[in-house]
Amino acid sequence: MYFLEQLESFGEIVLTLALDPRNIIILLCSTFLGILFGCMPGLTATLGVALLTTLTYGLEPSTAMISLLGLYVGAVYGGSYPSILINIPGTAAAAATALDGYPLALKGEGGRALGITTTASTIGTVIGTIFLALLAPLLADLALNFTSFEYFLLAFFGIVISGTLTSKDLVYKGWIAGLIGLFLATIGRDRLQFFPRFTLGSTELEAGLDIVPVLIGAFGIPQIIKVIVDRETLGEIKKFARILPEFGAILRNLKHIVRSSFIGVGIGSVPGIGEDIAGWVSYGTAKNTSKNPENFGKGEITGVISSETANNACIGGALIPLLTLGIPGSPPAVMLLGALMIHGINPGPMISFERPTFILEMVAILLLASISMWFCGIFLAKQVVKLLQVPAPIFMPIVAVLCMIGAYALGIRVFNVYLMVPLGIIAYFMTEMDYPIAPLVIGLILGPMADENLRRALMVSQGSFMPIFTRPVSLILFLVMIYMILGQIPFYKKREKAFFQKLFGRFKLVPKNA
Amino acid sequence: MENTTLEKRRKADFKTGLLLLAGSIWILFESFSFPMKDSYGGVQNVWYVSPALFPLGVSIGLIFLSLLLLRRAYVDGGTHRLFTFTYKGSLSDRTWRFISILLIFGFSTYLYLPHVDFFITVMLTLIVMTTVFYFDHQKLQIQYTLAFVGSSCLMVLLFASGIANSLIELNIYSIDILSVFIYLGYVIYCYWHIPKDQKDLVRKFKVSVVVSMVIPLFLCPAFKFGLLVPLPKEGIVIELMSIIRFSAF
Repeated sequence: MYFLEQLESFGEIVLTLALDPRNIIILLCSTFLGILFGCMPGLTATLGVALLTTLTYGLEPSTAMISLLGLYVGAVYGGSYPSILINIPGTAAAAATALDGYPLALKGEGGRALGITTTASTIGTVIGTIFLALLAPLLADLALNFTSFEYFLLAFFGIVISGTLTSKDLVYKGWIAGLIGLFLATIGRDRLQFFPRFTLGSTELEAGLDIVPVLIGAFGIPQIIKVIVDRETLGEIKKFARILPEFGAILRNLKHIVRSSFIGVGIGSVPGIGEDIAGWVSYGTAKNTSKNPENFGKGEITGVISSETANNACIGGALIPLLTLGIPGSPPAVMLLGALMIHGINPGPMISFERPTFILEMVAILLLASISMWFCGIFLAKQVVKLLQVPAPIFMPIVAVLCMIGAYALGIRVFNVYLMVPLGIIAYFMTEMDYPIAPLVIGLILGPMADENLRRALMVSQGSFMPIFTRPVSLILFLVMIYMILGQIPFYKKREKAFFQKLFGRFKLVPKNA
Repeated sequence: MENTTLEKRRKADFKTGLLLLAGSIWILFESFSFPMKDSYGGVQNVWYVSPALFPLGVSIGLIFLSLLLLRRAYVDGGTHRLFTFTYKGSLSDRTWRFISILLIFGFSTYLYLPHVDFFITVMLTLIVMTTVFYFDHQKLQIQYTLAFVGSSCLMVLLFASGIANSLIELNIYSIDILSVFIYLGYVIYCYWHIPKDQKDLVRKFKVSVVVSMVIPLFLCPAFKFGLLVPLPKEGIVIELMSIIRFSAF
């Protein structure tokens, strides 16, 4: 009965949203804008969401979410265009798509590849949406039992796992980035005692660092500098014929789609990792489980489908911890969290009480966004590709100006722009030295939560850390973090490898590729 | 080749490790100055309620990780010839582009944005960035950057010497008018220095001028009248737009 009531509410919400022409126009425009952001190398979904947050802050929360989610979905999908047509991923999420997408374009099947990615991305988003609808209420119910220790450990867990999995070089560079983010979060007056910390006597810093300018600085400025300094140019764009939905190819690859969706949702729901890892893991899994792995990299349709389905399914997965715990599952979700907070919505387990239909609204918006993405992809791809030919040195200065006004507009403070530029330059140097930025922004967003909850938890336990070991969820989070940290120590790694070799040997379990 | 790349990276890691260590020690000492057990704001502190708790934990973590980074950098040869400096005779194109973009960002944000009409700031930022980077011509890039820096330094001198304030007292829009002259002067300078046989550069110059004028024409009204966001500095052009907007509609 409850399920039927929820389904009825969901149907009403979808109809209410879909029957308002204003919502449809905003959705189509923002999805198209998202595809543009995704397909221009150097622009990212996160930057797009950050800039659009500035434009939508005066709108109703549901209208703002329609535009932001439309852009997010479009941007993740849009990265496949340059991946396929010019072998340059538009976003990191589409990097794996280039491996088989570009060879298809070289064979004159660029239109076919785009049709496949459009339909596969739509299906991936829809499956991610279904998981969001099913799992979010369950996780929200579970999270109601969380106390301050769990929230503190969740914040640290997000930073540790994000730092571990997103570091290209040494893993502790990711942790350093996370700790820098936590430090930035402590600047300003602390929330419990209102004591000024690290304000250097400046009244501007007493309010702390605004999230949006820092995110624009961290994601936007390094990209602008990189594209301009490295003189990134697009190659010749391969021509393509009409784009067709390719339902036949989709049906033949149904099992890959389902598996890739599970991978995408699973990776998306882990804090701070994001669509790029989902794309690579899914591609790698498809290749390893294929009967003909030698075909991968030469225009194998399964490779394109696996990567694109996973990176779009990741969107729904990233929204699960975002809406239920207030912990973003990917960098664009970090920006969405900032946008939600600006609109007075505080995601977390209490969301079901404060706004009972909010999760269903987000599910409905995501579903409509996936349909909008499909239409834009099938009918407007050629227009998008024309815009791809705008030279980067023309586009990037415009983005730089948008970053300046975007950082300024939300707080109407020029100080935010003053802050954005040096933070952006520091973020640029960090990315050049292989420090991942995602843990830094996760640390910045979750820092206040970690700080407050740690002190609150210790107040309740009178300074004792024992509840970490007596509460099951805290203990699991703590042990997982310790395992991830110890896993980076060579001494422990050798012992662990020897242990598992002995274990497999005892049960005569031989790995598949041995 | 790989070893050289790794060594270079570890050299950079060693230097950043030292900076991080210094920074985290500063955070540690600052945190000790926060109330640990005295009363603040009517609240009696104990260590676990202290505002110093979290920053102390973060600084200890950062100190530990910076030491690990320094150790790793040392093991991988990052300290080998750490402080030797090889002068190659000139800066690379990449370095020049980086310096150019830093200077343009810096002057646009800290000089023009708070003092000059936003429309004119955007025009100036766009014309400089597009001509410097779109032309893809190293000699022109350096010339144009230096021209922009020179005129901006002049503006800085005007503000530092107080002449700017006197000009503003004479005419409230004097700095905006001066900036328009800087823009026009820069455009003429750019065109003057384009080699006449390079028709492609002339085309790119025209595109840059059009972009620098058209983009603010959309951006400023969109934010000012569409989103009702007061712009950072509303000077002569924005006031004119407001007059047109409110008298015509």
